[in-house]
Amino acid sequence: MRTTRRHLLGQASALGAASLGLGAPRLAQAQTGPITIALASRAPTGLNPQKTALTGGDSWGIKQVFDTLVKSEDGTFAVRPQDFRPSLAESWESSADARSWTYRLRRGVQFHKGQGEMTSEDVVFTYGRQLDRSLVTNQKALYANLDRVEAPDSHTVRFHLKRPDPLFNGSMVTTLSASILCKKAFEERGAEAFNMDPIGTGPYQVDSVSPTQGVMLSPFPQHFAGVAASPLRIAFIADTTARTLAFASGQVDMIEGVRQPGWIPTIRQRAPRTIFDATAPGSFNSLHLNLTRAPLNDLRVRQAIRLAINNAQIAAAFSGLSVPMVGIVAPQFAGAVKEEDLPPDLRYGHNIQRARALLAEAGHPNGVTIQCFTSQREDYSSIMLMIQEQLRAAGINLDLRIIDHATMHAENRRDRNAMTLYSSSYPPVPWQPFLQQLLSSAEVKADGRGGENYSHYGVAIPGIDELIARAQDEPDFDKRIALIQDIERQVLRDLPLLGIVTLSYVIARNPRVDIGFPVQSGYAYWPLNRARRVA
Amino acid sequence: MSAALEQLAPEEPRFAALRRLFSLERPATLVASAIVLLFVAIALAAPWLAPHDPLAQSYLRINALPSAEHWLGTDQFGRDVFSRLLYGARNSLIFGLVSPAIAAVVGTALGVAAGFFGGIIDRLVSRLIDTLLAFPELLLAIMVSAVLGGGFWNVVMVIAVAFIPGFARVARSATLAVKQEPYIEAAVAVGLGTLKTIWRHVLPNISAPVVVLATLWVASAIRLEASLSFLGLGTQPPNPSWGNIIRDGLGNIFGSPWPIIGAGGAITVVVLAFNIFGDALRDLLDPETN
Amino acid sequence: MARMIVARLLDAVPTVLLVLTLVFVALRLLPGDPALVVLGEYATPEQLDLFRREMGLDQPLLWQWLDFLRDMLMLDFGVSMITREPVAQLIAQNLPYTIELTLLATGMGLVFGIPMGVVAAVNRNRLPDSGVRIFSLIGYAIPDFYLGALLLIVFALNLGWFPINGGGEGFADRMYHAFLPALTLAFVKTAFLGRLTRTALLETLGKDYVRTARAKGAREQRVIYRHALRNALLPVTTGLGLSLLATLSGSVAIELIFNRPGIGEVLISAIAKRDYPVIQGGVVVFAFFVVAVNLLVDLAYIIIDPRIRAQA
Repeated sequence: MRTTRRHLLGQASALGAASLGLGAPRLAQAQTGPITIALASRAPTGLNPQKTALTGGDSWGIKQVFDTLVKSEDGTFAVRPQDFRPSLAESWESSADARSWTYRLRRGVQFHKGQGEMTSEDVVFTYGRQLDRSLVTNQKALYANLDRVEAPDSHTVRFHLKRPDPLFNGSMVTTLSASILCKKAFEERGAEAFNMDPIGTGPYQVDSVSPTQGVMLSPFPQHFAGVAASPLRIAFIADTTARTLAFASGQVDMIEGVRQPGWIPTIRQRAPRTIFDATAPGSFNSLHLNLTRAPLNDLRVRQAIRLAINNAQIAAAFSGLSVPMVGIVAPQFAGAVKEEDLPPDLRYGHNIQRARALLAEAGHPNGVTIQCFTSQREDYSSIMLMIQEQLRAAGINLDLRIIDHATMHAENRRDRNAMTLYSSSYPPVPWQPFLQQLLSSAEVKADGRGGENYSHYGVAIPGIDELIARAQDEPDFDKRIALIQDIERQVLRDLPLLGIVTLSYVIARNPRVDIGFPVQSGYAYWPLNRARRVA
Repeated sequence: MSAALEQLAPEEPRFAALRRLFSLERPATLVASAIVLLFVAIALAAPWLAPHDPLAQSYLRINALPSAEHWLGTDQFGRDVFSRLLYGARNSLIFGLVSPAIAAVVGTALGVAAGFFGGIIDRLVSRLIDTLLAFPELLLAIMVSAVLGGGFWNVVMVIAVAFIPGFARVARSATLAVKQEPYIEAAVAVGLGTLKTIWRHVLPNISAPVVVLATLWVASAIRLEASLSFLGLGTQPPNPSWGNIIRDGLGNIFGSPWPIIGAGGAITVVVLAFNIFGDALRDLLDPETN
Repeated sequence: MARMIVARLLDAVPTVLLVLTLVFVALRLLPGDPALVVLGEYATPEQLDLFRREMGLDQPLLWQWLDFLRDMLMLDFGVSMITREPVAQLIAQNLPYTIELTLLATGMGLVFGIPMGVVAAVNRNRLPDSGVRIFSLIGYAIPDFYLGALLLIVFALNLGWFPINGGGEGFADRMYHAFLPALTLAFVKTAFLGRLTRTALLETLGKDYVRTARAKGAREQRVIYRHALRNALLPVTTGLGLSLLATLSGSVAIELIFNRPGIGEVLISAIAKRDYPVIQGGVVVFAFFVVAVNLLVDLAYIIIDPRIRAQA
């Protein structure tokens, strides 16, 4: 009887769905014209890789238009020093102390639209802008370790670092803001004009940039690695529903996925053959506990929170896009610690009873209420809403406000948050999260001039700076990784920052387009010079 | 949004009496009143009626189709949509009552002050009203909630601010009309204080249009709150609102249309009922506005 | 008449100034800091200071306000903090989409609403009247974002009759793209104008001159269209003004759902990014519309009703 009723209800709802025309999966018809990818931003901000306030959508354009000296294999991250591949540089070497890096440039590389050959002058110009303190440029803080850059001849460039960096290629060569600019075009046009009509060496050149049509790109016929297969359009659709519908209707070939539970199954229901290109790990999602606020200044309360949050459950809700974290470094990267390698007292697991007991021991037998806020962007709000519900079971009540994304960042930077979920995509340079989020010099300040150490770790609980400095002075990659794992264990002991989950960046792709390589990891953008229609 | 402005439009002349308000001769009013009552009852009794905790997540049943256990299915966190819909009624009722009430008090105070005292006060208030009216309601609401952030009282204030100019305008013109009456002059001549005069003679005489406006704007407040929540600027998740149920439902539009149909239908029916009820009340309380 | 227009314009000046000041104050109350938003997560304190200096955000507030008023009076909207694009250009690119949507929706509302009102008034208390009444009640009640989503899913996604999103290129394509969103907005407009026409027409049909015309033996058709409807247009014109303004703001949610370019969409995203010059420019444009529409309504009054013309 029960089965029958359920069966009937199922049929009824299928009927209802059909009346709205929802049930029938329509296979999108083949399209002509450029291959189109729609990203989650409102309109193009520009294509100058050094411009600030670039959106994820802009990064896609920049990736196609510019090259870097060195690159990772398409669809992957170079995790270890030997994984990097030549691009504008044919070869490179570092000094034994890993403080001096020399690159030999490929000869005959042309800039777009007849702007001449790329030489060491262009490279020095590009990095010189990042070093110039009087210029506002993108990701400037990444270049803090760079002392100077010089050009011994027209096709050689040498970088001098302040501290050793065995993974220099990862930390400031393969990143987007290190894309090589055309000095001549930049100086002739000025930063504003260059931003909308840029000149690079990449496989695509810019035809037009428009707020309504997006960025139109055509293959650059003289690219050193061969000519791209198809023209490309980068479209911008900020609203998640509008973007999903544009994809489902076949109007666009690829869209930036919506990182909220249930989205992938929903697309599969409509278009079962959809391909999901996802980076692993994607973003690191960690929770800062503000050590200067009661009750979070009590280690037992922080332990209770750690025990009540079920990382595995949160990861599972994202249908394969997410992996639970143990420490601060994504499990896929060197430097991460594994649960089974930890001493027993640092293997937290999920245990509501112990969480309640610890809370009672800390003087909160009736639970605690913690005020905090997060962004309304779907990945932030989804994760925080799940954490809120999990903590509720342990008597920890999160008074959570969900506010606009820009406001959240600004309020966080003013030290207004007690529990800050922080999402950031890091390259496999395992020390970056520590430098950015745990160092005392990065401590958040009430006047907004501080950094992104929202827990006040290193100040409220000193000691971490010395551990990080020791790792930073170690020129050998493997020895440095061992030191990083020491830091991971110390953070697990003090719990200022809890690793929650990694969350993949995902692009849903219509099977009629082939991009030429499998996406495994990497930044939240990849080259589309091999993309072509197959149906 | 637009409805609030548009409801200021003149209504057709109708003559209704209290006994006819609920009589069988006006079945629409009767049905509407019943729906309003049902809505209020559901809102009050939501905790007892809801089959599930509207906040309880279940990762094992994300975006489920309607079933005997979950009549409207579940959302992206596995929460029961039907329970959220019932609690959403409570949310809508509170916004629908509180925001117009606050706007009525503040707007009437401004309007009466402007109309009664005239001069510089009138100029200032009229200018303020014009200024606020220069912002479309929804835009005003978006700007204010961007300043204040979401959250219950902020959204109440946002909607109230959007409604204040309407009340101020009505109260001002009604006060101007009342002020011409000889009994006001008499009251002032007798030496009755200004505040007392306003309290005893002005307010009672302008109450009808204000009350009618407030009733009609219950529906607008419910709609505006739903719009704001739909845009992510209203009721704070995880608390359910009909607007954010639709917003969440759009995320699973290929899987199940029922959350959207349920919440959208609920808003439409309740707003419809309040409009009919408000019209009938207007005929009863304030036939002159026709 | 020219004097009246000038007087009306002068009257609008303090309102516009007050709007500008309110916007300015509201923006400075917004908790977000544009420097942090623009420079992003890797910004150093040094960079933040540099940016604030470039944008004049380090000046005292009073100074910033005077600068702002001066620029606005000279119609200099400045450049976007994020793209450095002139705000005037940004508005010029997006405003036409909002205007065409508003006009199309209003046109639909008139085309459906006025005949509907006439039919209802002529058939007072009969079946067509009830039908119109029910339609208006539903038109008022159904939220536009809900209706928009339903129309989009049924007619664009599943039937494929209309484009899913975007604004289109070239006149015909743009109208095609604007059709569904305009239809969504036209729903409440039709309800409103239909009801307004009915009420106004019933009122004028009861007036002396209409009775006179009838008594003189004018045909009923002629009475309705020649005498009554013309006078009934007065309140309809005011209503149309209100309704135009309501649509301008109602278009915010619709532009979002249909992913159309437009001024509402520009404003919302500028608010999210704390792009002060763009927000200010956008609000000024809205305020300008309020003043302009009110002025047009007054002018329409004069044209429709010769008695007012005589007074002016």
